[in-house]
Amino acid sequence: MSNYHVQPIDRPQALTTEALKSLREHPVQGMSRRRLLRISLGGGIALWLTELAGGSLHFLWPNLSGGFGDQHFRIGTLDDVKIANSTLPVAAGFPAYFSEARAFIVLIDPARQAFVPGEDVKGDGTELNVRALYQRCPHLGCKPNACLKNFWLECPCHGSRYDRLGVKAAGDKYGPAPRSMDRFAVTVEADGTLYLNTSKITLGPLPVALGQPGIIPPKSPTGCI
Amino acid sequence: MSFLERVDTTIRRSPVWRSLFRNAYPNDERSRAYAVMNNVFLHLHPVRVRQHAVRFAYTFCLGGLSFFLFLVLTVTGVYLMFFYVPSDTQAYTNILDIQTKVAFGLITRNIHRWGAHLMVFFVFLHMMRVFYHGAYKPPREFNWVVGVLLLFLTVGLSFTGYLLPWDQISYWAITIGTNMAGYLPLINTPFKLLLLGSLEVGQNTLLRFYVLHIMALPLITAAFLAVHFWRIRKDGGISGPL
Repeated sequence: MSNYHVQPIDRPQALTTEALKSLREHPVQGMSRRRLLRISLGGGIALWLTELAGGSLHFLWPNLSGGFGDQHFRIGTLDDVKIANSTLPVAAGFPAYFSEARAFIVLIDPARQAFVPGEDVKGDGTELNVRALYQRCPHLGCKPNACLKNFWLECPCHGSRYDRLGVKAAGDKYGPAPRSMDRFAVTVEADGTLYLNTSKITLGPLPVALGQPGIIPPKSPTGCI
Repeated sequence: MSFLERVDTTIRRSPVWRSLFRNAYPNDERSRAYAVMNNVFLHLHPVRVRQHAVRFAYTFCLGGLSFFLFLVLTVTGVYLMFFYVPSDTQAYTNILDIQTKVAFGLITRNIHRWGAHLMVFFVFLHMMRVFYHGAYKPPREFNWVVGVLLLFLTVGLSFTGYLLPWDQISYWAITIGTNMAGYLPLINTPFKLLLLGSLEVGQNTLLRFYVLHIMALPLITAAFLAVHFWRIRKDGGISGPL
Protein backbone atom coordinates (compact mmCIF):
# COMPACT_ATOMS: atom_id res chain seq x y z
CA MET A 1 0.00 0.00 0.00
CA SER A 2 1.45 3.33 -0.98
CA ASN A 3 1.69 6.30 1.28
CA TYR A 4 -0.97 8.17 -0.65
CA HIS A 5 -3.56 6.24 1.28
CA VAL A 6 -2.22 7.23 4.67
CA GLN A 7 -4.34 9.91 6.16
CA PRO A 8 -2.55 12.67 8.05
CA ILE A 9 -4.27 11.52 11.22
CA ASP A 10 -2.60 8.09 10.88
CA ARG A 11 0.92 9.55 11.15
CA PRO A 12 2.82 8.44 14.24
CA GLN A 13 2.15 11.18 16.73
CA ALA A 14 5.71 11.18 18.05
CA LEU A 15 7.13 12.55 14.78
CA THR A 16 6.34 16.15 15.42
CA THR A 17 8.25 18.87 13.60
CA GLU A 18 10.57 19.24 16.59
CA ALA A 19 11.19 15.49 16.75
CA LEU A 20 12.03 15.38 13.03
CA LYS A 21 14.39 18.35 13.43
CA SER A 22 16.27 16.68 16.24
CA LEU A 23 16.42 13.42 14.28
CA ARG A 24 17.97 15.32 11.39
CA GLU A 25 20.75 16.58 13.65
CA HIS A 26 21.32 13.12 15.09
CA PRO A 27 24.25 11.33 13.39
CA VAL A 28 23.25 7.97 11.89
CA GLN A 29 25.04 4.72 12.71
CA GLY A 30 26.70 3.22 9.59
CA MET A 31 25.43 4.41 6.22
CA SER A 32 22.41 6.66 6.21
CA ARG A 33 19.61 6.20 3.73
CA ARG A 34 20.38 9.62 2.25
CA ARG A 35 24.02 8.71 1.69
CA LEU A 36 23.14 5.32 0.17
CA LEU A 37 20.66 6.92 -2.23
CA ARG A 38 23.10 9.66 -3.16
CA ILE A 39 25.90 7.16 -3.86
CA SER A 40 23.63 4.91 -5.90
CA LEU A 41 22.31 7.86 -7.88
CA GLY A 42 25.81 9.22 -8.53
CA GLY A 43 27.10 5.77 -9.40
CA GLY A 44 24.17 5.20 -11.72
CA ILE A 45 24.76 8.47 -13.54
CA ALA A 46 28.49 7.76 -13.77
CA LEU A 47 27.79 4.29 -15.18
CA TRP A 48 25.32 5.73 -17.68
CA LEU A 49 27.78 8.40 -18.81
CA THR A 50 30.49 5.76 -19.25
CA GLU A 51 28.15 3.64 -21.33
CA LEU A 52 27.12 6.68 -23.35
CA ALA A 53 30.74 7.67 -24.01
CA GLY A 54 31.71 4.11 -24.94
CA GLY A 55 28.65 3.67 -27.12
CA SER A 56 29.28 6.99 -28.88
CA LEU A 57 32.89 6.09 -29.60
CA HIS A 58 31.80 2.73 -30.92
CA PHE A 59 29.09 4.40 -33.01
CA LEU A 60 31.53 6.89 -34.52
CA TRP A 61 34.28 4.33 -35.07
CA PRO A 62 34.71 4.08 -38.85
CA ASN A 63 33.88 0.77 -40.47
CA LEU A 64 36.81 0.20 -42.81
CA SER A 65 35.57 -3.04 -44.37
CA GLY A 66 35.18 -2.88 -48.13
CA GLY A 67 37.47 0.13 -48.42
CA PHE A 68 41.06 1.15 -47.84
CA GLY A 69 42.02 -0.12 -44.39
CA ASP A 70 40.09 -3.38 -44.72
CA GLN A 71 42.09 -6.26 -43.27
CA HIS A 72 40.60 -8.69 -45.79
CA PHE A 73 40.21 -6.70 -48.98
CA ARG A 74 39.13 -8.93 -51.85
CA ILE A 75 41.01 -8.38 -55.11
CA GLY A 76 40.02 -11.61 -56.89
CA THR A 77 41.78 -14.31 -58.86
CA LEU A 78 44.46 -13.62 -61.47
CA ASP A 79 41.75 -13.90 -64.12
CA ASP A 80 39.70 -11.22 -62.33
CA VAL A 81 42.74 -8.94 -62.31
CA LYS A 82 43.30 -9.57 -66.01
CA ILE A 83 39.66 -8.86 -66.86
CA ALA A 84 39.63 -5.68 -64.80
CA ASN A 85 42.73 -4.47 -66.67
CA SER A 86 42.08 -6.02 -70.07
CA THR A 87 43.97 -3.30 -71.96
CA LEU A 88 47.16 -3.80 -69.93
CA PRO A 89 49.69 -6.65 -70.26
CA VAL A 90 48.99 -7.95 -66.74
CA ALA A 91 49.97 -11.50 -67.78
CA ALA A 92 53.44 -10.23 -68.64
CA GLY A 93 53.90 -8.86 -65.12
CA PHE A 94 52.66 -5.30 -65.68
CA PRO A 95 51.35 -3.64 -62.48
CA ALA A 96 47.52 -3.52 -62.31
CA TYR A 97 46.12 -0.59 -60.33
CA PHE A 98 43.22 -0.97 -57.87
CA SER A 99 42.19 2.48 -56.65
CA GLU A 100 39.83 1.25 -53.90
CA ALA A 101 42.67 -0.74 -52.34
CA ARG A 102 45.25 2.00 -53.07
CA ALA A 103 47.36 -0.81 -54.50
CA PHE A 104 49.28 -2.05 -57.52
CA ILE A 105 48.97 -5.82 -58.01
CA VAL A 106 51.97 -7.33 -59.79
CA LEU A 107 52.51 -10.90 -60.99
CA ILE A 108 56.07 -11.73 -59.92
CA ASP A 109 56.94 -14.53 -62.34
CA PRO A 110 54.99 -14.27 -65.62
CA ALA A 111 56.10 -17.82 -66.51
CA ARG A 112 53.63 -19.12 -63.88
CA GLN A 113 50.20 -17.72 -64.66
CA ALA A 114 48.63 -18.22 -61.21
CA PHE A 115 48.64 -16.94 -57.66
CA VAL A 116 49.97 -19.62 -55.28
CA PRO A 117 47.76 -20.20 -52.22
CA GLY A 118 49.35 -19.12 -48.95
CA GLU A 119 49.91 -16.13 -46.72
CA ASP A 120 52.67 -13.51 -46.68
CA VAL A 121 52.42 -10.94 -43.87
CA LYS A 122 55.65 -9.23 -44.93
CA GLY A 123 54.25 -8.59 -48.40
CA ASP A 124 57.31 -9.89 -50.29
CA GLY A 125 55.02 -12.30 -52.13
CA THR A 126 57.68 -14.36 -53.95
CA GLU A 127 56.17 -17.65 -52.72
CA LEU A 128 52.65 -16.49 -53.62
CA ASN A 129 53.81 -15.20 -57.03
CA VAL A 130 52.09 -11.87 -56.37
CA ARG A 131 53.07 -8.60 -54.74
CA ALA A 132 50.73 -5.77 -53.69
CA LEU A 133 52.41 -2.35 -53.65
CA TYR A 134 51.01 0.59 -51.69
CA GLN A 135 50.40 3.44 -54.15
CA ARG A 136 52.16 6.02 -51.95
CA CYS A 137 55.64 7.04 -53.16
CA PRO A 138 58.00 6.69 -50.16
CA HIS A 139 59.49 10.07 -51.04
CA LEU A 140 56.63 12.56 -50.51
CA GLY A 141 53.45 10.59 -51.09
CA CYS A 142 52.51 11.04 -54.76
CA LYS A 143 51.21 8.08 -56.74
CA PRO A 144 53.77 6.57 -59.14
CA ASN A 145 52.34 5.46 -62.49
CA ALA A 146 53.12 2.24 -64.31
CA CYS A 147 54.78 2.98 -67.65
CA LEU A 148 53.98 0.74 -70.63
CA LYS A 149 57.23 1.64 -72.43
CA ASN A 150 59.71 0.32 -69.89
CA PHE A 151 57.45 -1.68 -67.49
CA TRP A 152 58.60 0.47 -64.58
CA LEU A 153 56.74 2.53 -61.99
CA GLU A 154 57.60 6.21 -62.23
CA CYS A 155 56.59 8.97 -59.84
CA PRO A 156 55.47 12.09 -61.72
CA CYS A 157 56.26 14.47 -58.85
CA HIS A 158 60.02 14.13 -58.40
CA GLY A 159 60.95 11.33 -60.78
CA SER A 160 61.54 8.40 -58.43
CA ARG A 161 61.76 5.24 -60.54
CA TYR A 162 60.98 1.69 -59.48
CA ASP A 163 61.02 -1.59 -61.37
CA ARG A 164 57.67 -3.30 -61.94
CA LEU A 165 57.95 -5.00 -58.52
CA GLY A 166 58.41 -1.64 -56.80
CA VAL A 167 62.16 -1.89 -56.18
CA LYS A 168 63.79 1.55 -56.28
CA ALA A 169 66.80 1.92 -58.58
CA ALA A 170 69.70 3.29 -56.55
CA GLY A 171 71.23 6.65 -57.41
CA ASP A 172 70.07 10.26 -57.71
CA LYS A 173 69.55 9.70 -61.42
CA TYR A 174 66.54 7.54 -60.52
CA GLY A 175 64.91 10.03 -58.18
CA PRO A 176 64.99 11.01 -54.52
CA ALA A 177 62.92 8.20 -52.87
CA PRO A 178 64.82 6.73 -49.90
CA ARG A 179 63.52 3.17 -50.33
CA SER A 180 61.46 0.86 -52.51
CA MET A 181 57.67 1.05 -52.58
CA ASP A 182 55.82 -0.22 -49.50
CA ARG A 183 53.94 -3.53 -49.57
CA PHE A 184 50.66 -4.87 -48.25
CA ALA A 185 50.34 -8.19 -46.47
CA VAL A 186 48.77 -10.64 -48.94
CA THR A 187 46.77 -13.86 -48.67
CA VAL A 188 45.86 -16.20 -51.52
CA GLU A 189 43.10 -18.67 -50.72
CA ALA A 190 42.89 -22.22 -52.04
CA ASP A 191 40.76 -21.14 -55.02
CA GLY A 192 43.40 -18.60 -56.02
CA THR A 193 41.53 -15.53 -54.76
CA LEU A 194 43.85 -12.75 -53.63
CA TYR A 195 43.10 -10.76 -50.47
CA LEU A 196 45.06 -7.77 -49.17
CA ASN A 197 45.43 -6.62 -45.61
CA THR A 198 45.32 -2.91 -46.46
CA SER A 199 45.92 -1.94 -42.82
CA LYS A 200 49.21 -3.84 -42.67
CA ILE A 201 51.98 -2.12 -44.61
CA THR A 202 55.61 -3.24 -44.64
CA LEU A 203 58.23 -0.68 -45.62
CA GLY A 204 60.03 -1.38 -48.89
CA PRO A 205 63.71 -2.45 -48.91
CA LEU A 206 66.61 -0.14 -49.68
CA PRO A 207 67.28 0.83 -53.32
CA VAL A 208 69.21 -1.62 -55.52
CA ALA A 209 71.75 -0.45 -58.11
CA LEU A 210 70.78 -1.16 -61.70
CA GLY A 211 72.58 -4.27 -62.96
CA GLN A 212 72.63 -5.92 -59.54
CA PRO A 213 70.36 -8.91 -58.80
CA GLY A 214 67.07 -7.93 -57.22
CA ILE A 215 66.03 -5.26 -59.72
CA ILE A 216 64.48 -5.80 -63.13
CA PRO A 217 66.08 -3.56 -65.78
CA PRO A 218 63.74 -1.30 -67.78
CA LYS A 219 62.47 -2.68 -71.09
CA SER A 220 63.45 0.48 -72.92
CA PRO A 221 66.04 3.16 -72.08
CA THR A 222 63.40 5.92 -72.04
CA GLY A 223 60.39 5.96 -69.77
CA CYS A 224 57.17 7.95 -69.59
CA ILE A 225 58.39 10.92 -67.55
CA MET B 1 -10.47 58.41 -22.76
CA SER B 2 -10.14 58.18 -26.51
CA PHE B 3 -10.60 54.96 -28.44
CA LEU B 4 -6.84 54.53 -29.06
CA GLU B 5 -6.05 55.01 -25.39
CA ARG B 6 -8.61 52.39 -24.49
CA VAL B 7 -7.09 49.92 -26.98
CA ASP B 8 -3.66 50.68 -25.56
CA THR B 9 -4.83 50.07 -22.00
CA THR B 10 -6.61 46.86 -22.96
CA ILE B 11 -3.46 45.51 -24.63
CA ARG B 12 -1.24 46.46 -21.70
CA ARG B 13 -3.60 44.86 -19.23
CA SER B 14 -3.99 41.65 -21.22
CA PRO B 15 -2.45 38.48 -19.72
CA VAL B 16 -0.20 37.98 -22.79
CA TRP B 17 1.32 41.47 -22.50
CA ARG B 18 1.82 41.17 -18.75
CA SER B 19 3.39 37.77 -19.19
CA LEU B 20 5.88 39.07 -21.79
CA PHE B 21 6.67 42.40 -20.09
CA ARG B 22 6.48 41.66 -16.42
CA ASN B 23 7.53 45.11 -15.25
CA ALA B 24 6.25 48.52 -16.20
CA TYR B 25 8.67 50.53 -18.32
CA PRO B 26 11.67 51.06 -16.00
CA ASN B 27 12.07 54.74 -15.23
CA ASP B 28 14.22 54.77 -12.11
CA GLU B 29 17.44 53.04 -11.14
CA ARG B 30 15.81 50.40 -9.02
CA SER B 31 13.29 49.28 -11.64
CA ARG B 32 16.01 49.30 -14.33
CA ALA B 33 18.11 46.92 -12.24
CA TYR B 34 14.98 44.84 -11.65
CA ALA B 35 14.24 44.64 -15.39
CA VAL B 36 17.80 43.45 -16.15
CA MET B 37 17.70 40.83 -13.41
CA ASN B 38 14.32 39.54 -14.57
CA ASN B 39 15.27 39.07 -18.23
CA VAL B 40 16.62 35.72 -19.32
CA PHE B 41 19.14 37.25 -21.74
CA LEU B 42 20.07 40.37 -19.80
CA HIS B 43 20.50 38.60 -16.47
CA LEU B 44 23.76 37.08 -17.72
CA HIS B 45 25.13 40.61 -17.57
CA PRO B 46 25.98 42.66 -14.53
CA VAL B 47 23.05 44.76 -13.41
CA ARG B 48 25.34 47.75 -13.02
CA VAL B 49 28.43 48.55 -15.05
CA ARG B 50 31.19 50.66 -13.55
CA GLN B 51 32.07 53.84 -15.34
CA HIS B 52 35.62 52.79 -16.28
CA ALA B 53 34.27 49.65 -17.91
CA VAL B 54 32.41 51.48 -20.63
CA ARG B 55 35.54 53.40 -21.66
CA PHE B 56 36.24 52.17 -25.19
CA ALA B 57 40.00 52.24 -24.73
CA TYR B 58 39.80 49.86 -21.77
CA THR B 59 38.25 46.85 -23.52
CA PHE B 60 38.26 48.00 -27.17
CA CYS B 61 35.01 45.97 -27.27
CA LEU B 62 37.07 42.93 -28.24
CA GLY B 63 34.97 40.34 -26.40
CA GLY B 64 31.78 41.96 -27.64
CA LEU B 65 33.10 42.01 -31.19
CA SER B 66 34.00 38.31 -30.95
CA PHE B 67 30.47 37.53 -29.77
CA PHE B 68 28.97 39.75 -32.47
CA LEU B 69 30.98 37.85 -35.09
CA PHE B 70 29.80 34.56 -33.58
CA LEU B 71 26.21 35.71 -34.11
CA VAL B 72 26.96 36.92 -37.65
CA LEU B 73 28.58 33.58 -38.45
CA THR B 74 25.62 31.67 -37.04
CA VAL B 75 23.13 33.63 -39.14
CA THR B 76 25.14 33.56 -42.39
CA GLY B 77 25.98 29.91 -41.74
CA VAL B 78 22.28 29.04 -41.56
CA TYR B 79 21.74 30.82 -44.89
CA LEU B 80 24.62 28.91 -46.49
CA MET B 81 23.27 25.58 -45.21
CA PHE B 82 20.27 25.94 -47.52
CA PHE B 83 22.54 25.57 -50.55
CA TYR B 84 25.31 23.27 -49.34
CA VAL B 85 25.40 19.46 -49.35
CA PRO B 86 28.37 17.85 -47.55
CA SER B 87 29.07 15.36 -50.32
CA ASP B 88 32.43 14.86 -51.99
CA THR B 89 30.82 15.07 -55.42
CA GLN B 90 28.61 18.10 -54.77
CA ALA B 91 30.28 20.28 -52.15
CA TYR B 92 32.64 22.18 -54.43
CA THR B 93 29.96 22.74 -57.10
CA ASN B 94 27.62 23.98 -54.39
CA ILE B 95 30.19 26.54 -53.29
CA LEU B 96 30.52 27.75 -56.87
CA ASP B 97 26.72 27.87 -57.23
CA ILE B 98 26.39 29.85 -54.01
CA GLN B 99 28.86 32.36 -55.41
CA THR B 100 27.45 32.66 -58.91
CA LYS B 101 23.80 31.56 -59.00
CA VAL B 102 22.33 32.30 -55.57
CA ALA B 103 21.04 35.83 -55.02
CA PHE B 104 23.30 37.54 -52.45
CA GLY B 105 25.17 34.24 -52.24
CA LEU B 106 28.60 35.71 -52.85
CA ILE B 107 28.25 38.34 -50.15
CA THR B 108 26.79 35.80 -47.71
CA ARG B 109 29.69 33.44 -48.23
CA ASN B 110 32.21 36.27 -48.07
CA ILE B 111 30.73 37.60 -44.83
CA HIS B 112 30.92 34.08 -43.39
CA ARG B 113 34.50 33.63 -44.50
CA TRP B 114 35.81 37.04 -43.46
CA GLY B 115 33.80 36.87 -40.26
CA ALA B 116 35.48 33.59 -39.43
CA HIS B 117 38.95 35.05 -39.97
CA LEU B 118 38.03 38.13 -37.95
CA MET B 119 36.56 36.09 -35.11
CA VAL B 120 39.80 34.14 -34.64
CA PHE B 121 41.66 37.46 -34.81
CA PHE B 122 39.43 39.25 -32.28
CA VAL B 123 39.35 36.30 -29.88
CA PHE B 124 43.14 36.39 -29.92
CA LEU B 125 43.22 40.16 -29.35
CA HIS B 126 40.65 39.79 -26.56
CA MET B 127 42.90 37.26 -24.90
CA MET B 128 45.87 39.65 -25.20
CA ARG B 129 43.82 42.48 -23.71
CA VAL B 130 42.76 40.35 -20.75
CA PHE B 131 46.34 39.19 -20.27
CA TYR B 132 47.86 42.68 -20.31
CA HIS B 133 45.23 43.96 -17.89
CA GLY B 134 45.97 41.08 -15.54
CA ALA B 135 42.24 40.33 -15.66
CA TYR B 136 42.97 36.61 -15.45
CA LYS B 137 44.01 36.94 -11.78
CA PRO B 138 41.75 35.77 -8.94
CA PRO B 139 38.80 35.98 -8.61
CA ARG B 140 38.60 35.77 -12.43
CA GLU B 141 40.91 32.78 -12.95
CA PHE B 142 38.05 30.39 -13.70
CA ASN B 143 36.71 32.67 -16.40
CA TRP B 144 40.18 32.72 -17.96
CA VAL B 145 39.99 28.93 -18.22
CA VAL B 146 36.54 29.16 -19.82
CA GLY B 147 38.00 31.73 -22.22
CA VAL B 148 40.84 29.41 -23.19
CA LEU B 149 38.28 26.67 -23.91
CA LEU B 150 36.39 29.16 -26.06
CA LEU B 151 39.61 29.96 -27.93
CA PHE B 152 40.08 26.24 -28.69
CA LEU B 153 36.43 25.99 -29.76
CA THR B 154 36.85 29.00 -32.06
CA VAL B 155 39.94 27.47 -33.63
CA GLY B 156 38.07 24.15 -33.91
CA LEU B 157 35.17 25.84 -35.69
CA SER B 158 37.61 27.55 -38.03
CA PHE B 159 39.45 24.30 -38.72
CA THR B 160 36.32 22.23 -39.40
CA GLY B 161 34.86 24.96 -41.62
CA TYR B 162 38.04 25.09 -43.65
CA LEU B 163 37.42 21.63 -45.16
CA LEU B 164 33.87 22.31 -46.31
CA PRO B 165 34.62 24.09 -49.67
CA TRP B 166 36.30 20.79 -50.63
CA ASP B 167 38.94 22.36 -52.88
CA GLN B 168 42.63 21.54 -53.07
CA ILE B 169 43.71 23.98 -50.37
CA SER B 170 41.15 22.70 -47.86
CA TYR B 171 41.77 19.06 -48.70
CA TRP B 172 45.50 19.33 -48.13
CA ALA B 173 45.18 21.62 -45.12
CA ILE B 174 43.02 19.02 -43.39
CA THR B 175 45.38 16.24 -44.51
CA ILE B 176 48.24 18.08 -42.84
CA GLY B 177 46.19 19.00 -39.78
CA THR B 178 44.99 15.47 -39.17
CA ASN B 179 48.48 14.09 -39.82
CA MET B 180 49.58 16.29 -36.92
CA ALA B 181 46.87 14.62 -34.82
CA GLY B 182 48.67 11.39 -35.75
CA TYR B 183 51.58 12.50 -33.56
CA LEU B 184 49.51 12.70 -30.37
CA PRO B 185 50.82 10.48 -27.60
CA LEU B 186 48.94 7.21 -26.93
CA ILE B 187 45.70 8.05 -28.78
CA ASN B 188 47.18 9.06 -32.17
CA THR B 189 45.71 6.42 -34.47
CA PRO B 190 42.29 6.08 -32.76
CA PHE B 191 41.90 9.87 -32.61
CA LYS B 192 42.81 10.24 -36.28
CA LEU B 193 40.43 7.41 -37.25
CA LEU B 194 37.58 9.01 -35.29
CA LEU B 195 38.27 12.43 -36.77
CA LEU B 196 38.64 11.26 -40.37
CA GLY B 197 36.14 8.41 -40.37
CA SER B 198 38.62 6.54 -42.58
CA LEU B 199 42.36 6.29 -43.09
CA GLU B 200 42.51 9.37 -45.32
CA VAL B 201 40.46 12.49 -45.95
CA GLY B 202 37.30 11.50 -47.83
CA GLN B 203 33.49 11.58 -47.82
CA ASN B 204 33.29 10.43 -44.20
CA THR B 205 35.68 13.19 -43.15
CA LEU B 206 33.63 15.83 -44.95
CA LEU B 207 30.45 14.66 -43.24
CA ARG B 208 32.08 14.50 -39.81
CA PHE B 209 33.59 17.96 -40.14
CA TYR B 210 30.24 19.29 -41.38
CA VAL B 211 28.36 17.92 -38.36
CA LEU B 212 31.03 19.26 -36.02
CA HIS B 213 31.02 22.64 -37.77
CA ILE B 214 27.29 23.30 -37.95
CA MET B 215 25.99 21.48 -34.86
CA ALA B 216 28.33 20.09 -32.23
CA LEU B 217 30.89 22.87 -31.88
CA PRO B 218 28.45 25.83 -32.13
CA LEU B 219 26.24 24.31 -29.41
CA ILE B 220 29.18 23.72 -27.08
CA THR B 221 30.48 27.21 -27.85
CA ALA B 222 27.10 28.81 -27.10
CA ALA B 223 26.93 27.01 -23.75
CA PHE B 224 30.43 28.15 -22.79
CA LEU B 225 29.69 31.71 -24.00
CA ALA B 226 26.73 31.86 -21.60
CA VAL B 227 28.94 30.67 -18.74
CA HIS B 228 31.66 33.14 -19.79
CA PHE B 229 29.31 36.16 -19.69
CA TRP B 230 27.56 35.07 -16.49
CA ARG B 231 30.92 34.53 -14.81
CA ILE B 232 31.86 38.20 -15.39
CA ARG B 233 28.95 39.22 -13.20
CA LYS B 234 29.63 36.49 -10.62
CA ASP B 235 33.33 37.38 -10.39
CA GLY B 236 32.55 40.96 -9.45
CA GLY B 237 32.10 42.62 -12.81
CA ILE B 238 34.70 43.59 -15.33
CA SER B 239 38.23 44.09 -14.01
CA GLY B 240 39.29 47.60 -13.09
CA PRO B 241 42.19 49.66 -14.42
CA LEU B 242 45.56 48.68 -13.06
